[in-house]
Amino acid sequence: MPIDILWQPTTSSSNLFYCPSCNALLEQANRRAQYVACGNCGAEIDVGLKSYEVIKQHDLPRKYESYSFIRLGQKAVINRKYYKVIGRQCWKIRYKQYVEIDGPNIYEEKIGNYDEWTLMGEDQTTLTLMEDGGSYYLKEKIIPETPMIMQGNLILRFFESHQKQIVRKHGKAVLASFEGEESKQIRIGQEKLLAFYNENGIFGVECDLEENEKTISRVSFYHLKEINPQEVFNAFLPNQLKDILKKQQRNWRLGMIALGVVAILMFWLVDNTQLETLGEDLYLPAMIAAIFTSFILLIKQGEVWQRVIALILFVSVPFYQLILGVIQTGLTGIGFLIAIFSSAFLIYALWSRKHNLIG
Amino acid sequence: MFHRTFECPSCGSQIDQKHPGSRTLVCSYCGQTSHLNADSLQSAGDKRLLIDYGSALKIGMQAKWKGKDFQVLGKLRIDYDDGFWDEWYIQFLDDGSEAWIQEDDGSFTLLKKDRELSRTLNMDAITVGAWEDLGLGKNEKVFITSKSKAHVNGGEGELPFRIIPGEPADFVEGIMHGLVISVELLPDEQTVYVGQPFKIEEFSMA
Repeated sequence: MPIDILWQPTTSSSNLFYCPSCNALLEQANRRAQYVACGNCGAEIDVGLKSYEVIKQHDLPRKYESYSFIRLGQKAVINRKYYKVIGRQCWKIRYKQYVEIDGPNIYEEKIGNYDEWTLMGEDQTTLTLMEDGGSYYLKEKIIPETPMIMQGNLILRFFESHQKQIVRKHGKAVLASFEGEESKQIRIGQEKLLAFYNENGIFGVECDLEENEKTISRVSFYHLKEINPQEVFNAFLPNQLKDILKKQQRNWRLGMIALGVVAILMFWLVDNTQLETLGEDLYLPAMIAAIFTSFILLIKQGEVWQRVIALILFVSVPFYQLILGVIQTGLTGIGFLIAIFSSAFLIYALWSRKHNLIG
Repeated sequence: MFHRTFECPSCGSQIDQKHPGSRTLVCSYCGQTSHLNADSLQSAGDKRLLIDYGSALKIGMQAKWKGKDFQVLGKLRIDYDDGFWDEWYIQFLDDGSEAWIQEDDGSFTLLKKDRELSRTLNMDAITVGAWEDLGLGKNEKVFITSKSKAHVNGGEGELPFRIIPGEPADFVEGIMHGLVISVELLPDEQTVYVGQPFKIEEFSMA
């Protein structure tokens, strides 16, 4: 049976070293990385030949701090593979955005910043996660059937199955800063032209410009797959916390169902019962509500004291039913109290859990 | 299965040849590149052991790609202005065909030799971002995605052509019919390779 190649012991171990410029502790996770930029002082260090010499001094990375929660060194699980954040490029962009109105094409001029995070997997492969104004995209390189760069007609189409599409966004981006590791030499100030169109996703072409800014040195084509920010956040959570959160979310849903049942029963009672006979008619619904609520609390696997109370409720209600059956008195008011108590406890438990989701 | 052994002309270590078509063998002990002349090895260029940057591939390993078994025979490392990439020379075991796996920055492309160019390409006349006639046939034009001056950093294992560490290895890359076109301009030959990228999940160890 084939062994999954992902788990070969060829994965790199991190190389830790001190920045020769400011002495900050730096990490090289990707053995193929040739350059590491210090996140503290902005020095670009040659690590390819293990010379650890500063080859360039860039602006302080703090000048272009990321708006995202993502930071270098964080780990994530994406498409069921483990990744580590090893680099960030911050690009300043001046672009034109297509405005959808009737009549001639109109483009609005805009400026902004976006980040490209490089993540390295255990199998030494990398992926690029783009963050632009709070939206996240997985940037995947593609080989189009009909490659083209943007021309004056502002139309693009990369595949035979696509319609000719109007360019939604185009402009010029300038690399403002980078931190972490890169296997290619990075030039702060290097420029690229970008153009994107939509067709069941976002497709784009990037043209790297030579230093003379007139000729193109490289053309790359991409598919940008948008990812819900919550999914990105979840991908970066530690596994233990992720399990707790998953369990809490499930319990929250169960709790809401329990609460709903209790509430419906209560309303049903109030609506169908004369106030003077409320105590007597409440017997069966109160039993159901209390048992259901207690059961839900019991399977929540909450704190010990919560489980103890749930267990008491769970056991005491049938016991009460038994006693009631024997003496046949008008003690059904106790059932009402149990239901109220159960509901209050349920609300408290859910509230306390909701406010302790992360921590 | 074909197998011959030689002594490294530099250090005397044993060097294996597993493919009859190989023209270059590199000593894994001292890094000496040697050219195969009939039944003898002749040193070529400086000794150069490639730095191990880590990879899912290793020389000598067997793996499967889309259900087909292959063996990794050699590796060629090319340096260019912005960095480097590795090319793994592989042989499919079922039909003996050869191919290359280009590994660049964690991405992989499987390339097969298409043809050797009959005319010398003028790199300066090729424009990136344009459709160019590279001499692939009537009306066949390639959309050029990059071109660069490059040189051979070195090799490992065995290779099907002669290399000398440090020699020029300029390249032109493009796209045609949804496939990657890679033209390598070595001093002795200008070879066109055709292929497509794949994800690492698409192959597994045999």
